[in-house]
Amino acid sequence: MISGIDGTGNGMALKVAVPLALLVIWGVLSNIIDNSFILPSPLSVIYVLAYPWGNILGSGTLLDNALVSLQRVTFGFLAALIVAIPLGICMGRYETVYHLFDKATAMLRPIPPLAWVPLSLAWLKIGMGSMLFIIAIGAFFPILLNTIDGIRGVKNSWIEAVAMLGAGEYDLLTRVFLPGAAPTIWTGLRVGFGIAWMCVVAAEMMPGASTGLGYLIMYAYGWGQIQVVMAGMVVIGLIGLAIDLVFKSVEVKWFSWRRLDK
Amino acid sequence: MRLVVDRLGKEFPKAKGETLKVLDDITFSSSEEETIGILGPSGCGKTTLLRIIAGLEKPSTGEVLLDGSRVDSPNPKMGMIFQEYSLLPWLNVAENVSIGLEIRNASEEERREKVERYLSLVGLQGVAENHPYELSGGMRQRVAVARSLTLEPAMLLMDEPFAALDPQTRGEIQESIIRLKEVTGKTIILVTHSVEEAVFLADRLVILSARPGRIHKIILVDLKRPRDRASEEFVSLRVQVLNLLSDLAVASKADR
Ligand SMILES: Nc1ncnc2c1ncn2[C@@H]1O[C@H](COP(=O)(O)OP(=O)(O)OP(=O)(O)O)[C@@H](O)[C@H]1O
Ligand SMILES: [Mg+2]
Repeated sequence: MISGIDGTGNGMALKVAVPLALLVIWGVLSNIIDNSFILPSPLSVIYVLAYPWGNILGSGTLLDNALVSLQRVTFGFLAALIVAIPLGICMGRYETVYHLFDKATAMLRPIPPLAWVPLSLAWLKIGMGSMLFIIAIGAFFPILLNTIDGIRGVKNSWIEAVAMLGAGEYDLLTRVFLPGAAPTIWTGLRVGFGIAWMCVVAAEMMPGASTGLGYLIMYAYGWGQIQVVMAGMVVIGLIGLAIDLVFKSVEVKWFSWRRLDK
Repeated sequence: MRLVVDRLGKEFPKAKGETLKVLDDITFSSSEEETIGILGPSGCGKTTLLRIIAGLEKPSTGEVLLDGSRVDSPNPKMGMIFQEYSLLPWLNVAENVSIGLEIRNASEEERREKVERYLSLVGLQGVAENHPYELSGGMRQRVAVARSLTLEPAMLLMDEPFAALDPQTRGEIQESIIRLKEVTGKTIILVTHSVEEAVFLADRLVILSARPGRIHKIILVDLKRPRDRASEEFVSLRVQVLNLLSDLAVASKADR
């Protein structure tokens, strides 16, 4: 094996070395600084994390807030996917549709989701609607672009071989285009979900939010509870990591043909 | 099934409004159960001709008739075996072979029965559950042949299907094509670079000249089957066709 990362034996030690070192440095620094408003000790953060069902400053538990955020990200993500995948399929398959939407999407894409906050508040008012909008904007473009790419990457020889067997446009869509593009679309979903997860935290910091991990860490900051802020950040990171692992394991399980077929 | 290719021409658009003439005035027809070999210098339009016959490409002039009706889109009465690898990599062998039947909504029983029958006809057993990437090139081409047979097309179109195979495997597949012809009596249009393959399999050879491809000569292969590649008639016909083709290649180089 050429690369040193083989995931076995000392590979495991390699993977945890940096996180452990950071933890140690954090502990030492917090001891030196000795000010929990600037850098609380790792232990105080772990203490918060150890009781995820404990009510924090009357703003709900870590667990409840995490569930609320997860629910929001799921709905926002689904809303993005429902529009982005069909649009991407049409743009990837039909040249006219591509030219129809290409310039508009290319112009909207560089606008960061946070820049949509004022407009979303103006249009949808404070609450669930405006949050879902921000989340959906974040997830939309990676899904769209990867769907277009995936459909275009479908080999002509697959299409023609199946067309010769009497397939109509619908058969081609379900039997060739979708399965052939699925690995790339899946990558888009994975990237899109990651961005949506970042956006949910940002959306929960908008005025009027009263639940969610984003709200919780801003609220705790207001009370000077930096260990809660950091515990919330750790939870955000861990959930993001876990979801990414789920996406990756599905990729390995369902789409291994793409890696093996060459 | 009777194929008529009638005064077929094809031009592709090039840059600056020019066109590239690829095929010119191609006329020939096949009788039932005939095997026609198409030979010609590289780039003379053989693949294009086959794709037009298949309905995958529109002709610029002329037409293709199948039992009297005009071909202008893919028709499941014709099965096509492509030169490049065209199996769907996410499906296993059995699923690949049965995809045409699924499109046709055949019953599960019929699908299972036909997958088995045609896989064994092309000499493949025990790989139904494997994925294409687990197979050798020769096995993949056999799967593609089996796939095209399940809908029981009256005609098979093959575009250099065995070019990438080693001589041993190639010989084996040629034998299974002959067996297939005896069992099913299909009309076969075979594009190939191998003169030996063409003389071995075909009843008639259509020789195309260099681009734009025109019919240079049609040769009847009047050899009894089973054919013996080492027999005097076989070798002399092979040499005659080889000479014809190398003359065509030289002529086309002199033009440029
Ligand atoms: N879609 C296309 N657009 C433009 N030009 C094309 C197209 N398809 C084929 N050609 C051109 O037509 C000519 C004939 O191509 P074709 O593939 O039919 O040749 P061929 O006889 O099959 O060659 P080979 O023996 O190398 O396979 C080539 O010059 C090719 O570049
Ligand atoms: Mg060719």
